[in-house]
Amino acid sequence: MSKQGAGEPAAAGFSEMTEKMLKAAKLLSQIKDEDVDVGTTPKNLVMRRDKVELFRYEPLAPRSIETPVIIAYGLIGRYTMADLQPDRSLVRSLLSQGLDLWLVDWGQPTRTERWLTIDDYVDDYIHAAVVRVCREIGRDKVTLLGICEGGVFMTCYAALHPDKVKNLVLTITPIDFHADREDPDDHHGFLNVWTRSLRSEDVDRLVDVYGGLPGEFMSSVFSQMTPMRSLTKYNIDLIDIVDDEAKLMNFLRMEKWLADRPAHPGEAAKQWLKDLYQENKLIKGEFVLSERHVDLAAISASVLNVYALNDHIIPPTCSRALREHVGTDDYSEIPLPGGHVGLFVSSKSQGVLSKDISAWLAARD
Amino acid sequence: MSEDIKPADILAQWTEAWRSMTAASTDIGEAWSKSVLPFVLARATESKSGMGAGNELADAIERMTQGPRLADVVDFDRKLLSTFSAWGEMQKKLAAYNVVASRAWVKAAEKYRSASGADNKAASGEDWRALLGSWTAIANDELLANQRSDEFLRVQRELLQAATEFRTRQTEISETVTKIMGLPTQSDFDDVTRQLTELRRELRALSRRVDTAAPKASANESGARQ
Repeated sequence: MSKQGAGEPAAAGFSEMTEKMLKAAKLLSQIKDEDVDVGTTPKNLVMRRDKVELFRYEPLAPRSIETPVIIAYGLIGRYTMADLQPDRSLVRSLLSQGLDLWLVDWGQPTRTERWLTIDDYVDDYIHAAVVRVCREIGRDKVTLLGICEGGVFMTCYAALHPDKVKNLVLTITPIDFHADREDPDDHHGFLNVWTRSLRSEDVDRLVDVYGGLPGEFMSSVFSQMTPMRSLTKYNIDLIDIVDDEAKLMNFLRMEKWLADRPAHPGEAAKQWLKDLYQENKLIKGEFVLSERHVDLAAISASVLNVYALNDHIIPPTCSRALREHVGTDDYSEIPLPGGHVGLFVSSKSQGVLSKDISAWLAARD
Repeated sequence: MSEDIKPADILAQWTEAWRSMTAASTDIGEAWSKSVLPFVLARATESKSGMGAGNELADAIERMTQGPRLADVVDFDRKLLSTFSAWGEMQKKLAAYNVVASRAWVKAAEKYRSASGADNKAASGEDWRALLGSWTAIANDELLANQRSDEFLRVQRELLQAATEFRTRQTEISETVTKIMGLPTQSDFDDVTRQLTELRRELRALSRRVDTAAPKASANESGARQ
């Protein structure tokens, strides 16, 4: 009798799970791909250069900050993380604060973009976007808002073209790629450890063979950082939320964003992994773009550096390092709770990040 | 004598013989594919002697219209062997990786067993979610710790190296086939995109120079008029 009694909760739990699994299967079969939409905030194409596109978002509130803000995400993943769904969108929140928001979308690089370097991204694509925005609105300077690798590109641009940048806003951006060693949380910085474990020629070989850094490959490295979460996501986690339509759609949008991972252009990937992750050239002042050293001390724009306290991909120590090297006296930091992606998409962080950014920009407009 | 031999012994001997033969054939294949012999053979089958000499151009044209010949077959065979050898190497590295990766699971299971045994959670019929939760937490910590170990990073790196080597040899095969078919290869495509990227850079640099020079020139012109 006692054995049977002990097994009852497990049997009931199993029965409940089976019921939910059937329900999940039925529900998922009814949801179409187009129902899971991401990056839907209205925007207009202003310029196309190769596969790179410059958009201007339609305003959602009267203009309160005049200096235009250009957002750029990295080449690992897509910008849609900043505009996942209407109630979880940094883009929408910033527009609601009255910002004039522009977006540089890198598109879907393939083997065709194999030879593009970070030099091209910074000195050609970003520069062309900045020049175009300035021309459109009749101003000399802009605000740059970079996310992750996009933050590194924006930092380099601000150092190489200080005359064009009024403010530099960085979010979850690595600057010192070896500062993960100073992070006390040993769950942080696996990407740094993993990249350093490779030889320089391993990176070359990988990129040369595939003509770039395959998106699928980088996805598997990211999955490795949260191993059990990756294993339980499509069973336990999915079944848990199947009764809640809003949560289910949020889950599916996140999955769509995660699956939308284009290949990282080859030569730029070599610079990213070897020059920055392995050799840490940016912080040493040895990183060279377009035959010029990127000198962080040359950044004269006001800088806002936002990082996530529980960021396991870009440890906070890697971001905070900028403080010691940046040229401007107007440097601010905002540490926020949450992880790398959670900073943008979690329900808790909604509004917090955009309010902090817009208040900081308003004070400098 | 024959009565002393057990079926298990025969099986063991046979397995050993098979293993040795497989290893030897792989070694031979590897040695063959890496030696200069295939190249020499290929050249030998292509060269003519005696009466055929002096008509190389016609022969070359004829070969071009005929498609694959013995030389191509030999070369293709070498590439196949080379790919097979790289595949074998990758499987070896994968097995080594799996051994190291599986240690974390074994450790996690031991930790979980001792933790749940101490609390007697399983026997008490505790909610399966709580049990799963504690298993997940223990396993996650073990997997993360394992991933950061030097040994794990080494076997993972070696697996990656073997996989890229295999892919390189696969590409050689596909390039050979596409060449035979008269289609552009991946290398051709890479050459074209490289030229395109370089051309675009030059064009844009030129365009920037023109843009910068134009206002200066017009300023000089208007200055001269005044």
